[in-house]
Amino acid sequence: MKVLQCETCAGRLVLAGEGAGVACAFCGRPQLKPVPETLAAPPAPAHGLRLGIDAAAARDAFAGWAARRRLAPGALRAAAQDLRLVYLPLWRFRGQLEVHWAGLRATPFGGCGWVPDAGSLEGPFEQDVCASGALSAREVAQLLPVDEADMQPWDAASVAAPWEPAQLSEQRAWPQAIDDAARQRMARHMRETSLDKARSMQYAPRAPGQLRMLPVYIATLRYLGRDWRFVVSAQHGKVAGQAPYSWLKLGAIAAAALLLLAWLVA
Amino acid sequence: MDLAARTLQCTGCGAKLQLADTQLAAECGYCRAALVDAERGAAAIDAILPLSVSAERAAREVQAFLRRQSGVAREARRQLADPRQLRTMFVPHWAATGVLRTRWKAEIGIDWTETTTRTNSRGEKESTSRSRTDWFDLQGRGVAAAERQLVSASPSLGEIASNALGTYDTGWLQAFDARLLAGCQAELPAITREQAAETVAVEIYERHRSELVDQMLPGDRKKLLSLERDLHVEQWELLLLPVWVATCSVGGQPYRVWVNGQSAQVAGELPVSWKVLLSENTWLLALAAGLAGLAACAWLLGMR
Repeated sequence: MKVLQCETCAGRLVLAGEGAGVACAFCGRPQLKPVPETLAAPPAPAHGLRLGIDAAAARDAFAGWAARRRLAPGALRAAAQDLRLVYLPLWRFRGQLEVHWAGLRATPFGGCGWVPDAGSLEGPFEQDVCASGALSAREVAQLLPVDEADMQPWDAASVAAPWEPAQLSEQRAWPQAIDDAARQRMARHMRETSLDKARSMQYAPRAPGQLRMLPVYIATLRYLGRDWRFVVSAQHGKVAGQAPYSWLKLGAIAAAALLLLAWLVA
Repeated sequence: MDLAARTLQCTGCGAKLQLADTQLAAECGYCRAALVDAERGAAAIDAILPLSVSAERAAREVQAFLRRQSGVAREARRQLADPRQLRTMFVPHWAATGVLRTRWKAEIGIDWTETTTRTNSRGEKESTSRSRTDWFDLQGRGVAAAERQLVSASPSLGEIASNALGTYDTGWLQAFDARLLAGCQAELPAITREQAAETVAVEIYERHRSELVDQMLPGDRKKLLSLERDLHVEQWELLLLPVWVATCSVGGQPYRVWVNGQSAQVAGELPVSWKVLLSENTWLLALAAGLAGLAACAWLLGMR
């Protein structure tokens, strides 16, 4: 398995076939260089999500999303023509979580109106952690959760698109999974029990993670010297990303507002 | 573990070379071929984290680190600016995996303001406010996981410098392979597992205690009354972690700058020169001169 790294965005990819002259799936630039083997050693994916939509449907989904951003530059819609399919790594953990918390609870009695409280919660958890080095956890979180029914065993030979090897190791992803799971569990507990200002500590006995691949289509737009990236879920066509504002359109609106104001004053 | 000096034969030129007690890999002094004591390494080391920071990047990070430091002696800056000073080392670390469980008791103080309104003799309403604190007893449990908590076992990279280099993602560890050490320096541990266990216990406990008091306990005032602890270490591993090291010598005193061989974080102690510090901060000189001038004027006026 040959791992390539983009010299511009540092994204890593395993290409299907030779892949000579292929552009980086994350930033679109053709600056991929091989990574020395001792440095790569990526873990093998266990499962991959089946493609829910094809490239044409992804283009339509992205074009529709772009059309709703009325203040975005016109070039945003054109970016739909350059959607690239890539598989992103995602760690999935299942385990038994224990959370110890302390916080304040409102009370009608006493002077200060608060009483401190502490306790523990235990229960099973299931958590996904983005293992991509090129995309942020926030970008990927917008495309979750995935439909478990569409998961199938991963076969790299049959995948016709590049995939990103995990940049976050299982070891490093595990505490993140526990923290995220505990945060969600505590948020629910606080809502259910009227607990306020609570903080927690969490622990889970180590459980093995499963590396899964999430197919997405990626489009990039270079606007005003900055790269803007948009991610389209290849499962259901949901789009994640922030569109830039067109200075031309904003200027036109401001000019129109000024003209209207001048006309009203006159 | 046998830490006696070992003699190895160079595979390049056949010269017989002696490795020092804790030395695991070195370069042949005659032909510069890489020498690794694979037998002793395989017996002692559980895993190696491969180097993932290039020499160019390490040199860039050292330069950036030097730019951020003020008052560094010119001689040190000159020596460290030479990228040939950089060499790779694999530093032994003990790694502990386990869990710390605690039971705590605390007093929690919550501040509030008591406002009393009364009618005075003229029939006017008067309000007085007083700050008060309500105190409550609270007890609970705490937990802290140690996922490969690292303790430097190196004679050259101390625990403080090792901590300053930041964390390593030990998820990329590989089984001992002498080829990973070729051309680098590598050491065997200079401290025992029992000594490392004491350091791990103190570090985990102190971190847990400060997390408990500073972050978890609610209220405006906190008094931690008791903290019972139970640390259970499930696994110990001896790992070799990569660093880049650049050395310089100023006034006969050696100084080192370390670069994390995985994250490229830099740490080190550098000699400070007052001359350089003042020349870099001319405003400080101007301020000192201004203050001296003012003091002289005040003194002269006082004399009259």
